[in-house]
Amino acid sequence: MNASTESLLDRDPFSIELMSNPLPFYKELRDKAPVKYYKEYDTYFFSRFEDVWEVLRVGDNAFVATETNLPTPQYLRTHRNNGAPPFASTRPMAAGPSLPSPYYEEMRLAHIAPLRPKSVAALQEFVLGLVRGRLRVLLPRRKFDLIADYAAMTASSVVCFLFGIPLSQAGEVLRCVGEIAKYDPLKGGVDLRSFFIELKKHIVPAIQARREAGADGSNSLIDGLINYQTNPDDRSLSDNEIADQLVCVMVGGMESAPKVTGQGIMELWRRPEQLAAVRADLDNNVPIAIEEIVRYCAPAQYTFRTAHKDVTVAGQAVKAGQRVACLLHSASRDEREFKEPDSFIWNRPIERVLSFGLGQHHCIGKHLAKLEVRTLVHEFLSQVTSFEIVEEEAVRNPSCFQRGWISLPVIIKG
Amino acid sequence: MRIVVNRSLCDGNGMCAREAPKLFAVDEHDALHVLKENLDEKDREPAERAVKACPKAALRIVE
Repeated sequence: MNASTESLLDRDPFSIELMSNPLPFYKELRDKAPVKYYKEYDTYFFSRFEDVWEVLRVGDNAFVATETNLPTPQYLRTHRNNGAPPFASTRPMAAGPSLPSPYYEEMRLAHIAPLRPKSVAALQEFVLGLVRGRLRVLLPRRKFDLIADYAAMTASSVVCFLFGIPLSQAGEVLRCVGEIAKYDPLKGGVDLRSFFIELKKHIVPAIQARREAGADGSNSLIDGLINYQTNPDDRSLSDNEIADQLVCVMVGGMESAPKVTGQGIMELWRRPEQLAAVRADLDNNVPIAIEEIVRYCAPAQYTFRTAHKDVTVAGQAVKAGQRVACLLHSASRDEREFKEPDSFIWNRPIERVLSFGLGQHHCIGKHLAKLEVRTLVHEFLSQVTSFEIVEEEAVRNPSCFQRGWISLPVIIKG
Repeated sequence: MRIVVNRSLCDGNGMCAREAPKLFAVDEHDALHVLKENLDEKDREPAERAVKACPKAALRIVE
């Protein structure tokens, strides 16, 4: 029984072993060390729902993602701050997520318009058309990949549409994101630098096309950033600076929703009585089930911030220069917030969620992601009366921050 | 007692208008309008619900 008494808390939190099966680790953290300091990373890990809620509500540049919200373990081990680090550069303008207020908010407001609730609602018919188009191609094959072929291709097409990239390039853009998001065990985590360089090869031409078209506001994702003037030096942003602001929308739009869709359909399939209950009234029940699917399946594991002031939060004193890690998925499995958190219950009451983050960085694409997942799940279940997930062929990626299935083959039986 | 909105944080998610429709409204461009600047004691409960529901933590109540 030695193995069971050995604490997971003594191991490296970024080890492949813990990252590929993090739930027992999260539970031990929540129960025994809800705010746990890892000296090697100079980071406090917050694992309980209420504490993460509190940390993410802290404003006024006390916690900023200056070292990115997803620093690699290697970076954290080799960089130790002596007090608050300098804020990210605004000349050139650093990538959006690392910026402090007010620049973070200015960059966000310059491209959020197409992602607001009513703009997204106007895309409903377009998304439905894409989803039905995918099913027309895929269903005759009788076997296809629920994530790569169905959900991810749809999500990538929506991203291309927002960027004004021809939809015929959706497959290529998707391959690019999938390739560079793969976990690199040698470096640990995702190498954001090469990630940005590869993606910008798709984003920069889209910006140039908008400049040539006059950036008259008809593409509200890009035109606002082209027309933005920095304050106080009153200069315009370069293509590269604008692309840095848009990487988040491109990756976020393609990474999360497909994983959530695929796993959501699988969780229902694993529980035939729940699947039958949802099928009884798809129009009413799918939107309810989506809430639980998001809580249970959202792939983002954590988000980091660096303290720029001495702060006491959730009972923990954090010094300027130290980091905090909010374990989002652990919060979703916190028994203090959700009854039987490890059970999937399609219509459980959900009062609040942290799956999209909270506060300043709250997911900019939440409404679009929910529209996509809802449409993908609804159409699949309405057109397919009987199916089977080929679990032995499913592939899971133990990516550090985005954990989830990358391939879920499905056999259509009826 | 009044509501203070951090305008630069507001994304127009509309959760406040759902929780407290007498205090907040979101227009056709998803822009937020505060319907009542000075709150009565009876507004406290819905106002507090709105503050809690805002996913951007963009609202606060000032006494």
